[in-house]
Amino acid sequence: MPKQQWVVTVDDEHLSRLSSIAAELEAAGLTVDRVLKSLGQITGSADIDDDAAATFRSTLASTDGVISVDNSQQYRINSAEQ
Amino acid sequence: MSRYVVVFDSSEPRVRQEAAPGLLSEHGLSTGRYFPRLGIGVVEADAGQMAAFSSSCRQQNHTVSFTPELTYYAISQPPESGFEDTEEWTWGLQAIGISTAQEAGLTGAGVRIAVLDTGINSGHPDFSDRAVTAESFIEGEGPEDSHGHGTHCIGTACGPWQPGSGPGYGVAPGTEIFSGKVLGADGSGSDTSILAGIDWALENDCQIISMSLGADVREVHQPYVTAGRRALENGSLIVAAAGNNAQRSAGDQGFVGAPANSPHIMAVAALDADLQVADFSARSLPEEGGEVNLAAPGVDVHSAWTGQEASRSESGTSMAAPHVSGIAALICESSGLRGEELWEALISEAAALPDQETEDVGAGLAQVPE
Repeated sequence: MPKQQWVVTVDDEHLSRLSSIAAELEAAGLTVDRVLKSLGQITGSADIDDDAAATFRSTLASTDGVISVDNSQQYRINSAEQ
Repeated sequence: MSRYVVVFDSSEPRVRQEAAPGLLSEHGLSTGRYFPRLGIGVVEADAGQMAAFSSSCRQQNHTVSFTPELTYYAISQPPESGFEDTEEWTWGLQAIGISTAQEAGLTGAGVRIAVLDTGINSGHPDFSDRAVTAESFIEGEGPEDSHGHGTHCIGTACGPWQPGSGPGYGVAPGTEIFSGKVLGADGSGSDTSILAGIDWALENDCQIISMSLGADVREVHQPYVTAGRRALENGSLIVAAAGNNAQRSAGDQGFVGAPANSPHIMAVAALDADLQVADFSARSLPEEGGEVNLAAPGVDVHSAWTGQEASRSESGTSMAAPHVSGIAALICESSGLRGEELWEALISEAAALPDQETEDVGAGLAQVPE
């Protein structure tokens, strides 16, 4: 199964509960990569196929204090001759 | 005939609104540009007409003055163009007004710049006496730069004024360097590493975070909306390359990509040495946050490299963003401004580029403040 990576953003009111929210996400099946304390974000992944990904994402998004769950994107250097 | 500004100096609305237009008309002066709320008008007349007008006003006990109309010009002059590298400075440093920083003794001392990129060539002789903190957020790779791009960007923002050889190429040589490797040796990386790098920069209280990276997607990526806002709230300004997806010579203006298209993240376009927008430099999106905010040198930019190559000339909005980051450090050093206020200072100090479109260059060419 493909590994899907996610960025979970926590709202301003729940920043003090960041670690416990990370634990709840982990219990829901997310392998937590990093808990970003200054940003109030949690990055992680799950081995899950594309069909199940939407449901999984909804589960993460329904966690109390979570404002958004986004798929991780890829970026490149912005030099003109790549 | 000349143009005169006529002022009815009366606190009585009746005089300004009724008597004044009547007096003007009596003497054949137009009321088309008379503003009754102010009691001020602009009229075309010859000197004799004005003298007669003035004398009738005096007879009726109205205090009136008139002066020839002046023409006003914007204070900022368009900057010079046609720059080239000299023995002393790269063209880019000349264009942003580095001599002003030199005269004022501003080097960015005491300011921390995080450059989130492909790492740093820590063995480069131009950085041997510098305070460098390097970290890698790429699994399986250390903080060293095996690509070159990261070292080039760090060089532009933080490099020396008097390097071992070649022209001075760094905007703010007194800054403390934080090199976060968020792109691997192949020049690519993901949100996971980039957000970790931003978080690390905030933990280290870096006032400026420079990101010469992007994805060619129009959609705003939500994590950077929050990240940009929280960075500003923490006193850190994120400066990002607007993107290189234009091909203007073929009629394609491109668009500002992620994460530069997020509100709270400053998007920087690239200029050439004639201060024209670069062929590849992306144009503003109509959505909030999707604007190009500023422009800076980004074509044939000489800076440090990695491996056996001590320096290289590169082009891209990647090269423009670190010029702005370096200027931000100089402003931060001299004024103590951070976050949103630092953003505003950068915008207000920019030199307008009258022959360029705002959607291509934003407020104009980033400048070291006078």
